[in-house]
Amino acid sequence: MTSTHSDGQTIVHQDTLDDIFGSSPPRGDGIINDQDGGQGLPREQQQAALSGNVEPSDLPSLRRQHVTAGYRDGVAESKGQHIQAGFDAGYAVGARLGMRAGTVIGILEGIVRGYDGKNGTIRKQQPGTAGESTATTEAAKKTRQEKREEILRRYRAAVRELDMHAVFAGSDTPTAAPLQGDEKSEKPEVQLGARGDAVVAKWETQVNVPLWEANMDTLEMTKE
Amino acid sequence: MSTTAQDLLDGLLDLEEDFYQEGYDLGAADGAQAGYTEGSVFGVEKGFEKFVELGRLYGKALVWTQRLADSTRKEKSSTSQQPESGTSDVGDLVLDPSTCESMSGLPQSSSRLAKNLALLLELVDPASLGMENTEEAVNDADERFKGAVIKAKLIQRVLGEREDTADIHPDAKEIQALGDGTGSIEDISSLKIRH
Repeated sequence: MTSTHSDGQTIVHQDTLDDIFGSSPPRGDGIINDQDGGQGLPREQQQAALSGNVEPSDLPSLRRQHVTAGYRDGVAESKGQHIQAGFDAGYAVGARLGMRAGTVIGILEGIVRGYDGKNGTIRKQQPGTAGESTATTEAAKKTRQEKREEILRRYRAAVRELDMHAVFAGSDTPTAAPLQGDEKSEKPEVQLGARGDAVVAKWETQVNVPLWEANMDTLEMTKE
Repeated sequence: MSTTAQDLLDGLLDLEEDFYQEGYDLGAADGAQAGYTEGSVFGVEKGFEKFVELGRLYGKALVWTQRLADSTRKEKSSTSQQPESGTSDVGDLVLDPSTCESMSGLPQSSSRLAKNLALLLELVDPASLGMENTEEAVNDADERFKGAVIKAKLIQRVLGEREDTADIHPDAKEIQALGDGTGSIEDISSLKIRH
């Protein structure tokens, strides 16, 4: 632009575009080498640059600059639009598994409490057997205590394994631990749901949740 | 390439716009996935956190219901044999409802207990709990949880059960060692506060 000898069409042309095209690759070099980064220039360009006619190409960096800006805006805008949909889908999956995991923990907790010694260890004794009942009560008390210890162990294992992070880590079930090939293409809540289901289902079998629930149904029917 | 400077300038601006659009499309696709994943993982966590507590109350209610039924049955037919010594082998521990047979019976003739238990079960019934992230369902779950916590406390008080799980929690060290087991405030605080 600062050229003073603008006496011809060609020169004017060059001058006008000087600040824009000054850094463009020499004509004919249509390939944009993104990895180049403008540092290690091809010999052709170096020679061209040395000749003073054309400066080193900035097109890769120009491209990178605008692609990056576009990418950032694209991510920012679309991310916000999709978080809610993901949350809604994930919430329902988490809620269902949480309910199931909590039920297992609650049942175990209830059993532990049922074996807590505090309010009367053993159901009131049968009348008429007072003589031998003291001995049997002592023995029963002991097995009962052992049983409570074992149930407590199970309860603690359940609390640990059904902790939210443990449930979704999938570390408890070796089959679910590594990401399967097709698991990657699944939606995240589906993956997490499958992992969680494996862990929770194992415990549901242990405490036999369906049986507890089936009993509840019959109880409710006979209640009134 | 017979073109004026203006054309070239336009061409360059178009080029920049093309680059930008190229990046934008790429970003939009990545952002959609990243956003969905972020939301999904967070949603799974939040849903789980909320409902695990509801489930816990439901599980406890199931056990209480079973115990109440056992007690009622026992009361009615007091001739039935108590199976405790036969089934209390630790080796094959049974965690199904039959384990309630060897628990202490619930206080009888307490219609309030039965009523509270029925209400609790109704509040935390998974079949009727909305688990979607809609305003209505979330509010309903919150309300019912609040009510269920109160009901569970009432029942625990009647049964003389501890309300917290500090003594049985996996991280619990020797909390039972604190105090003489009466659980009274004076008992615990006298150990903690040195006058």
